[in-house]
Amino acid sequence: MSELYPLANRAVPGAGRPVGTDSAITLAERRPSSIVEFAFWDAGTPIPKSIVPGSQPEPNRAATTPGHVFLSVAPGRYMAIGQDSSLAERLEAAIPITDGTVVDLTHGRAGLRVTGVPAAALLQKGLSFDLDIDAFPPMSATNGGLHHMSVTVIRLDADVFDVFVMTSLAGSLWDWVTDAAVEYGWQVAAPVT
Amino acid sequence: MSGVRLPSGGTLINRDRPLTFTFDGRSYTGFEGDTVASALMAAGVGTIARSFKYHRPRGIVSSGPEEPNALVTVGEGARAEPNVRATTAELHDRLTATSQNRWPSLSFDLMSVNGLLPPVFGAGFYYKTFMGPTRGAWHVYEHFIRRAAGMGAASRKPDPDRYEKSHLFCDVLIVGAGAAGLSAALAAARSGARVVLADEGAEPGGWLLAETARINDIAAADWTRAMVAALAAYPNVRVMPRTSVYGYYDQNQLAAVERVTDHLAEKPAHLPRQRQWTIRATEVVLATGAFEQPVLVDGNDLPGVMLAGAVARFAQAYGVAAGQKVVFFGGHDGVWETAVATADTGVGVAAIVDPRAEPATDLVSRARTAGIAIHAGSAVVRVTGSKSVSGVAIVPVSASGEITGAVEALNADICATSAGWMPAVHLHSQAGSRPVYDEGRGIFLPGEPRERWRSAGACHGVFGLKAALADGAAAGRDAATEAGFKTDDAALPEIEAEREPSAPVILRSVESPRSAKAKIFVDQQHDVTASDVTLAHREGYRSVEHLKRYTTLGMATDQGKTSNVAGLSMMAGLRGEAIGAVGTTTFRPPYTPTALGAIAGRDAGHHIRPVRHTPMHAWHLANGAEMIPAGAWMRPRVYFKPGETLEQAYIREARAVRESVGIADVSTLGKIDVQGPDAPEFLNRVYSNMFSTLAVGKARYGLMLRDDGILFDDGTSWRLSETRYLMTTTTANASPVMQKLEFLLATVWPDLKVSLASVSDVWASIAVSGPKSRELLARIVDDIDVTDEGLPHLGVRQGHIIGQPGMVARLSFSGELAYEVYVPARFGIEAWETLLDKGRDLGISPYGLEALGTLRIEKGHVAGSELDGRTTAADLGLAGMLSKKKDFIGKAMVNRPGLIGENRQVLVGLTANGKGIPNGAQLIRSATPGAVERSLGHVTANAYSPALEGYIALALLENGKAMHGETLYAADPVRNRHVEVTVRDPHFYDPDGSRMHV
Repeated sequence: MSELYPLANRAVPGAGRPVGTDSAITLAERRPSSIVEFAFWDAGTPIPKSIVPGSQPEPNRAATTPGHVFLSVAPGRYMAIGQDSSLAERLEAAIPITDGTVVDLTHGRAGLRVTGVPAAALLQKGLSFDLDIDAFPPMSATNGGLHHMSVTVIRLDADVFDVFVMTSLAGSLWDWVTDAAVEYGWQVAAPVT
Repeated sequence: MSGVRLPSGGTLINRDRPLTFTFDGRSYTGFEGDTVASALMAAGVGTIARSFKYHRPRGIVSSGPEEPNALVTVGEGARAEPNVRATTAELHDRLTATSQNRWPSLSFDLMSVNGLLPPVFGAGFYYKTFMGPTRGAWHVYEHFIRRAAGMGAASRKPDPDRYEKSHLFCDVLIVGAGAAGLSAALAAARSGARVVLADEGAEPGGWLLAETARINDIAAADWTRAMVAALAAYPNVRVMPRTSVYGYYDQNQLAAVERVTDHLAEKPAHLPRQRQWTIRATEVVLATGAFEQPVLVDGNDLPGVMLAGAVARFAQAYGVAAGQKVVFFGGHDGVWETAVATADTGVGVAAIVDPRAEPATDLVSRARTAGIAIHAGSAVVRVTGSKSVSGVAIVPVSASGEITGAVEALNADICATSAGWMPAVHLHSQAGSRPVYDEGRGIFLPGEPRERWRSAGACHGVFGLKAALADGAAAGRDAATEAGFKTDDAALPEIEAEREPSAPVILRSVESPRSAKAKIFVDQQHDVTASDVTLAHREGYRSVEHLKRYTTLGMATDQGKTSNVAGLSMMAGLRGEAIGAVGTTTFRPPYTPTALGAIAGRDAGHHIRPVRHTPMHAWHLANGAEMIPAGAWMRPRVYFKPGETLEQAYIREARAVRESVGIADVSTLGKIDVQGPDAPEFLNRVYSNMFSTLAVGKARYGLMLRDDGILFDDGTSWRLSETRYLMTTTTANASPVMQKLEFLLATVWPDLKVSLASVSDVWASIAVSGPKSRELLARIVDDIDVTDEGLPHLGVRQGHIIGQPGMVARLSFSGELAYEVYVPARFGIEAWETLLDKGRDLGISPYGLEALGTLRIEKGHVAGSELDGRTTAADLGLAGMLSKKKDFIGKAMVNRPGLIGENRQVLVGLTANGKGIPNGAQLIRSATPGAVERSLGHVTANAYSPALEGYIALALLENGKAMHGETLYAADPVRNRHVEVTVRDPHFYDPDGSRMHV
């Protein structure tokens, strides 16, 4: 069965627009197997240990388990991104309706990885929260607005960001990022799962 | 004017890098670091522009952003930028500058005839000439007036340059990198705070770069460069030259524009021309300096009448002598120091004229040593010359300024005046602090801060190099401390001893012995004279705000930086009040002219806003669909076949639905996941009809009302489990509905355990409609019984479709047997193509918005054009859906008097005999086109109905039910249409719904 990722026709590996011969920005489509949002009626309810055995994600921070990243996006509300295609089912099993809710958004989000020394400067053109390394250090995550689009931004490292947007806006995110990256030069790498 | 390049000197220029440029087509040379003004002055060009109204020749007045006169157009063609201040425009190789507002040439401007008519064109000219009975004359004369007066003209071609925007955050923002700003930055930098130092100049330093005093025993310019380099080496400091902070907004948010490539001859295509910065600073230090003010004298607009400091700065910073017979005039010690410093650079200074009878002896001695003639106890009363200054007339004056002797003529090519320095309080004022006038010092000072800023240096009246450096350091420490950082008390640099200034004379203007013949210009940019101010006072425009509007004083690109204070001073004198009592006008952004392109950034054209695409978008494009915007979405309008018109295309598509099967992309419908133990109760409250009784596996059409009883939205909600619904909304209202529901849960019913999530983009949604839809559906589902028994009308089933987990709901918008098929978004095209493939033998056709609209009009189903924010459920024939058994949003207001009664416009159908019914047309009784008659309603949607084989429409019509069978006219005078229509029931096709219940 043919599955078409939202940026498959745009983020074609090898494409790009360098400055001279340099491309300081590398773009790659993010293709996680699962993107799941879950929330608890009581904001203080911890994520079940069966899902996150270690530290809970702090507000606007991400916690990781093997193959997964968990983001705290609002009080009692989380987003989980991972390679486990059964993640939504596992969460539904772990979180009964009496505790909270689970929504599978896997097909509802497009993801883009932005890598390079000027990655923060590039995204700062659109994001109106502080991307300074001290203010938004690695493994920070938050929801924000970028060119009138709601986005979820995760900083994985000093120069590595993942940006998720509603699937229908994938093209507009791509247009915005590739335009904003013109001054740095950009290239496309293979999709990241 | 006889400007010339000095043989040496010029802290800002690089004499090893000559540049060529043109002005009005003539080639000149300058140096790297020059401005257009300094290069033209060095080339001996005195007249740079013509004035706004009277086309009088004008030269360079200042050396900075306050310049009122020397405005030029820089660049050519689409890149021509008008009204650029030559004093701030950086020279680059092959720069092209052109003078403005002259015809046929700058030196011979026929429009200078306007100068003979100043009484006619004085203050209030437009108000007196084009008001009342003669207001129509404006339309006759407008073209000529606009041609005769004005400034530069913008290119009408699209701007080819790139502009960008970005955000910037810091602990301490310092605006201005003069002595105080630089010192503040150094103090704040040491604390570890994130510091941004923004300066509008090409090189940070402000007036330090033209300072003659030595700092730490090195030249001020060298010390400045060393400090800037030291600052730039701090990892926590960002030095931003060429960055004008032009706006101060609430919550310490400031706006700045960085000129990225304006100064480059070769502008790299990948770089923006300018970048707009939105700066959010925890603390701000405003070190914006001060503007020297002129002394207004008769003839003060002649090229060659300049500000004293500007003459010195051109010599010190650019190595340019503005003239060789410079006469300095002012009533304070600074004029003397400026004159002597200017003479020391090699500029010929002829005289100093000071109304004070006994100027400081040390200054007198220094001036004499420099060979400068001294005229103490005298004032310049007139500047003479035809196209430039050739001399000045001086007279002896008393301590109170009265003329006490005869006029004496002095030879001069430059008259350099100074009425002292006025703090630049623009940003302070924008931040909500009205300037406060210091009567003793004759200056406006910043008011009490209402944002988190403090001033440093001249902008709050701390003049003098040593004082400014100390004040800046204190401000920098204070800002860093307030931002939460620890600061230290580092030693200040050593400065040569500065002399204490003696008491100044507050001298803003000098009366001319020529009285009425005198031409004293207050605002040179807008040709506002002293007599205009007097006229405004005489005619009752005495408030400073009225003075500004009536005379245009202080308007335009310089915003009165060298004219406001003089104008206020004059008005205060005429009113017999102190300047402080008269007050100032309000300072508003931008502080200096800002390109609209920079404010827009990349939000233009293709990038003006995001566009939403459905999962099948690429297929639509590849298969002949004409796409049209529907809110933020792009949707297929029709799928053209070769040679088809729009009407032929949508009729073919609609027929396919009526006769066989069609598929439409309905992914744009809003989809909200509603979960929780209280989800049934929640839907009961937000919908007008009952949802708690809806069985699992069923869908129900629901109405939402606004609080005021007007219809808000409609759609179906599907019960997926006891505690979970999938709510669908109209495409247009997906976001408003979500926001409303979240608001209700957060604020009105926080006790309800309900969670919402938008899943609009999770699913690719396809409407499969037509008598053969069930047969087709059966071919693509894996584990769903689609028989009438297995999937009855309004049934919902979850299962697998083309092998993927999905849902099918038996719903009909077309009136035919129909289904909505939901598959995961990334499988949308696969499902779409599979449907087309499996339905080929059934005569399948994709259909777009036009056919979709046609089908719903035939059925009388309402959509966005009927849910227009004015209609009620009863208006649209849906009153039966307002539950009487439960409460719901809007119920309390739905039966208020204004929303009921016979005069309400209600939904009706219209037919026409062979003619299309214009959409939006007004319904009237008169058969006469153009008849002026009260409208009874309007057409909301129109189509050619393939089922009825005629033109039909839906309309909202007063007392519509009683009008069935009547003849009206759809009047559309804008498009010259007047069509006879017959009113009828809106359900044109299959009114009993039998076709969808098979």
